[in-house]
Amino acid sequence: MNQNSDALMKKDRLRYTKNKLSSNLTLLAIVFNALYFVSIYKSDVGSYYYKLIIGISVVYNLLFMLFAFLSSEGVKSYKLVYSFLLMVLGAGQIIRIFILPLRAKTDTITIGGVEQVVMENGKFARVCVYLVVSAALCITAGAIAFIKTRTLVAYQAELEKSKGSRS
Amino acid sequence: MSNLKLQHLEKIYDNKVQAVYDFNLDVKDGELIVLVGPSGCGKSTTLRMVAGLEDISAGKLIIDDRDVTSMPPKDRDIAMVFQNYALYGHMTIYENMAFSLMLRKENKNEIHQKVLAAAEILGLTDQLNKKPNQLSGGQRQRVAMGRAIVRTPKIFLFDEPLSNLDAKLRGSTRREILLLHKRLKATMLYVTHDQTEALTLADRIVCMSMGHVQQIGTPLELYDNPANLFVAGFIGLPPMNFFDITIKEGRAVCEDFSFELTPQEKKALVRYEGKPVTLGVRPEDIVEGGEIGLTVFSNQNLGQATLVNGTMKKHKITCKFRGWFDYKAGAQIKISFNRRHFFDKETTDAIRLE
Repeated sequence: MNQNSDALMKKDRLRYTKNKLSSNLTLLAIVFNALYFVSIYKSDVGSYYYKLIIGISVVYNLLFMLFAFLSSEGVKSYKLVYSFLLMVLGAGQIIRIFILPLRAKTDTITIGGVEQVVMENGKFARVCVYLVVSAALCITAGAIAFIKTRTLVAYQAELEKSKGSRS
Repeated sequence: MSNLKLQHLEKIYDNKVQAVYDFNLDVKDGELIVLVGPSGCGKSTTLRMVAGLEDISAGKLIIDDRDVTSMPPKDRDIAMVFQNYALYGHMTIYENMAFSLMLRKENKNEIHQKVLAAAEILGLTDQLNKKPNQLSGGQRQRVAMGRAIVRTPKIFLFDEPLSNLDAKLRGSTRREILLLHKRLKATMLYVTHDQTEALTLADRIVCMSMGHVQQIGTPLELYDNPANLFVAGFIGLPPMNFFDITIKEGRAVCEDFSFELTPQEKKALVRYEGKPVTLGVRPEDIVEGGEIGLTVFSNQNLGQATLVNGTMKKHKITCKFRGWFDYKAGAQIKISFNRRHFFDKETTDAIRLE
């Protein structure tokens, strides 16, 4: 009985409180994304990346931050579409591992007659961690937002129904 | 809820200005005390001392038999409602009301229950998701009250909570405060300079002037038996009319009129024979007909009553007659005094009729 009322109260609280958890997780995901691109762009073998799709990477980073920020605001007020967007952004962060970092890890570049690996294992591991954490945060935020939003919508429908039957 | 004792409370600022002198008050559990007086009389300072926002220079403050004189505000378990609402603009009404409990790290479900209960009492349930700037002044003040209610404090303090509201809203919010007090049975200390608020809300009124308590009593006591000239002039709207008179052979005499004193008045004024005394008559205690002549110079029709302003040889007075009157300026009418108050001219204290 007590547990039931606690659960009910938890649902009722959603009507008046913002989804700050999802919102904050998303902002944290943006921070980890920033750590990722700072690590990549700071590279002393930058010329290697110029041959690649560095312009697209920059634009993607900007778009990621924009949409992630919009989503952090959207999920705060329980908008379902933003929880999906967050999950898509999270999946995108995983995919990014295979575009720049993995190629840089397996490729070599000759600088001053010396051939060297574009991205050493340590740095590769670090940027992967940044992207994975960013992805995990986005997906978790999206999942939490999805669950909370669905719960809230169902609860509100229930309330409407009981209000209707009473009148 | 709790009782509150203010014992010989004084406030002296660093620049040696004394704002409150020897303030003594014993507030019973569940009582609504209104501190009333003109601006600068020390009523807000007294309230702020109770809240802990001002240091107490001398005296003791006791809540529930516990000396809290030097206790910090957060430990006094007191909630204060300010004139300017003091709401957080970036938070919703729900968050504003829940904020103090969140700071105390109370259980979220309990906070939720308390906020909803307070919102229900104050009729704010539909406004909980709004921001303060989306609400009217009256609603904002109710939120400020809600924020106090959720804390279930020992004592509620109100510092001129209705001063920012228009006259109509002030009336309705006043009724809400009264209902709230009846419902919560809380001990409340309420500061206002509006005597209508004081008379309608208070269980007891503390009337203050220049840092001194002038009189403590029920609204009726202050209205019917003012302790001195200040209270007599301050309580009642329009204010009491005053006349400088002399007692001569059982009659009250002045330039404008004279009348025979009642045996009760004669007995009380026997030691004032030949001495100057101040006579006070409330506008509503003046009736048409009698021996005192008055020249009307203006009428103010209020609907249920008419305020008639008139002049005598020396005095200007205001009468409040029931009903609608349309005297022309310059009209001569006769009046008499139904009920009279006498004050010692030197001490300004009331002369009590036994």
